[in-house]
Parts: sequence; structure tokens; C-alpha cells
Amino acid sequence: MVIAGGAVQIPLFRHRPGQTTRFGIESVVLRSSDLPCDVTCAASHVIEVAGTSFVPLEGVLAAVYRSEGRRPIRDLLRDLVSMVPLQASFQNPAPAGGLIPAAEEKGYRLAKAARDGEDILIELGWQPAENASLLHVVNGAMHSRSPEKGVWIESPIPGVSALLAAELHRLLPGPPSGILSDCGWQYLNSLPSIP
Amino acid sequence: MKAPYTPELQEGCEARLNEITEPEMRELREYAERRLLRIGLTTAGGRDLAQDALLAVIRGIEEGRGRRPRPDEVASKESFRHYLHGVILSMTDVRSTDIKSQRRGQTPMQDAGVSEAEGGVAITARTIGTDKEAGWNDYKAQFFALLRACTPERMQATIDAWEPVFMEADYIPVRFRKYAIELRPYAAAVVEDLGGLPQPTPRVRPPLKALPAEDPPAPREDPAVQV
Repeated sequence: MVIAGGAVQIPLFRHRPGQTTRFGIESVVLRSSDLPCDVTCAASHVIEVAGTSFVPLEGVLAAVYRSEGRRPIRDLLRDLVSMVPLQASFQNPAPAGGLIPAAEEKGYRLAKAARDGEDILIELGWQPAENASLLHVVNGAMHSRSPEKGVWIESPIPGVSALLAAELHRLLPGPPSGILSDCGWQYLNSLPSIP
Repeated sequence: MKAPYTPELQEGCEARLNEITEPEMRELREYAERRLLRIGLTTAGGRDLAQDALLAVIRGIEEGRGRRPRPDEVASKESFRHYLHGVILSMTDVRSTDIKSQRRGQTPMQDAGVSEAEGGVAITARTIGTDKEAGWNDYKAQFFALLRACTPERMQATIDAWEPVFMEADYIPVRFRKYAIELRPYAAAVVEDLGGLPQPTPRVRPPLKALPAEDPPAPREDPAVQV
């Protein structure tokens, strides 16, 4: 990792909680004693083992990129997942091609969608490589009668999702409805309504 | 305050848990996913969240440290389903506010809980000198006596948890924020009855405190990875 003052090499660890098969990016951790900067992260992602505290890498990346990150975050994440295969499986994921080509070409995907009352909720992911698990980016909520007034719902947890979402909004500004392809709309319209 | 657990209630809860079918489990997962979508988190954790909710109920009935439904919440399959939705909802609330700051070269810092401090009812006395301490102890005794007298029975457990850390913490130590929110107006009224806080008003930042360990499995080092 290159930060102000030079390059530093920090060992990474993987945390595998016993009850889950999921291995998301939040499970890649480093010792808090190796922190190159102050970080803010989800409290539940901080673990303690034998008096040593480990913090999630994505909190560090968010902090570094907020101040001095220069290398494109998507390049860094591609390198990371090539070395640490992540498994974040979505149940009943949305079909491929749910987003407009400009978003799909950059690796963004419609990961999940659901109806909740009159609202349509979507989750976007980013795929670092073919067949790789999606990384969470951002969610969106739209009213079914006026989807053009939808809003983005950013993750409250500082991490790579905020960086990827910022990239997406820079590339394709506008509400969630503008990023969905015809195929994506067909899928959303086919979802069962939940009272 | 948690309802006392009778063998009948435990049996009722176990029966409801055993009745959960695969489609109902899927419905719980989908409910969890919709809640996660609403707060900006990934739905990839929906299955874990639904299972965590069930685990919390199982721990509540087996170990007494978890969720405990009331009798009316296990009275029917439908009421138990609503209860489980409530458990999932409160767990998603926790996940969305569960943010922590950690400084380079320091132990983790406990979340400040500033909103309670802003409400004027959560106070800490770390900066008080020994000459003021006796006065604060008197104030504390009066404060909790009045607070217990004016609050419903169900809040007593929250008050019991708050009293020992009253002088150190600037927040009400509850697992779920709704309990602190419920207690706050009562505490503010008691502070007002007592003529406000003693002077000087103590600082509101909490002390640095180590995180509670939850005995996770030891991380495995992956020496091949460099970023």
C-alpha cells in the first residue's frame, strides 16, 4: 500500500465466522496495530482474537481514498479479488443485463431487486472479473407509480461500496431509474408485489 | 423488562420454532433482504440475518441471553412470524448505526452516543475532581431513585444497566437504541426535577475502551496477499 511517506507492506488476514459460508470483503482484515491511518468501520466487522484487534481492510481503503487514493479503486479491487477470492452469493439474483450498457461495460450489475408495498428496491453490485462474486455498491428505491423520482440509498458503513458508488454516480449521474435497461425494467415489473 | 420465562412459554416458543417450514424460512430471508435494501446494505447478508434472528430467539429460551418473546407473541403462528419480523427489524437497525472509529496506534474507541448527550440526560463524570465526587454520588442516588419511581416496570432492566456506568459513560448502555429512546424523556424530567445537572457539567466524550470480544475463530493469515 502506498501512502503519504512511502510504501508499506501490511499482512492481511481472512476472518471466517463459524456460522456463515459467506466470505465478503468485510472479512478481509488487518491488525489494528498495522493501521496506516485512522479508520471508521462497522463495529461488528472489528474482531478481537487473543487481545489483538483486527479491522476490515475496506475501512482502511475508504479512509485512504478519501484523502490520497490515486490508483483507480476498481483496479485495486480487481487485484485484491484475484488473490483473495470472495464469496458473496445473492439468493435469487437479478438476471444479467439489468443495467444500461454504459454501466454494464464498467462492471456494474443489477444484483437484486424486490418489491416492498408500492416501492421497488434495487441493489447494484460491481463485478471485478467474469464469474467473480459481486461487490456491493449502492441500493436504490423507487415508487412504482413515479420511478423517475427514485433515490439512491448509500451504505451507512464506510467501505469500498461508497467508493464504487461515487465512481458510478460520476460516470452516470441521475436517479436509479435512469440506469436500468429494458431488460431490467421487465424483470422489475415481473416481481411479485409484497403487501 | 424481559418477561419471566415459564416452562410453558419455553415449550410454546420451541414449538413455534419447530413449526417453521422451508417456505417460511424463505419468507423471513426475503423480509430481511427488503430491510437491508432499505438501509443501503447488501442483501447477500439476508440469509445470515434471518438465521441470526432465529439464533437470538433460541439463545433467549435456552441460555437466557437473547430474544425472549412474550406469551402473546407465541400464541399463534402469525403472531410469532410478526415477532420474528420485529427481531429482524431491530437487528437491521443495529447494523445501520453500528459504526466505529478506530485510530492508528490506539485501542478501539467506543461509539460516542452523542445524541443521548445532546438530549441532556446522559452524562459522564470523568473530569470531576475528588472534591466534587461526593456531590455527584448524592446526585446519582437521588436521580436513580426518582427515575425508578416514575418509570414503568419494563424499563427497570435498562435503568439497572445504566446505573453502574452512569459516572463513566455518556450513553445509556442498551443493546437496542429504542430502549434508550424510551427512557430518555423520563430521565430528562428527573434531571429537571432535580434542578438540572450539578456544576461543572462534565465532558461528554467517553473514555477509550476496548471492544467486547465475542470469541470469533482466529483469523488465518494469508501471506500471499499484498495491497
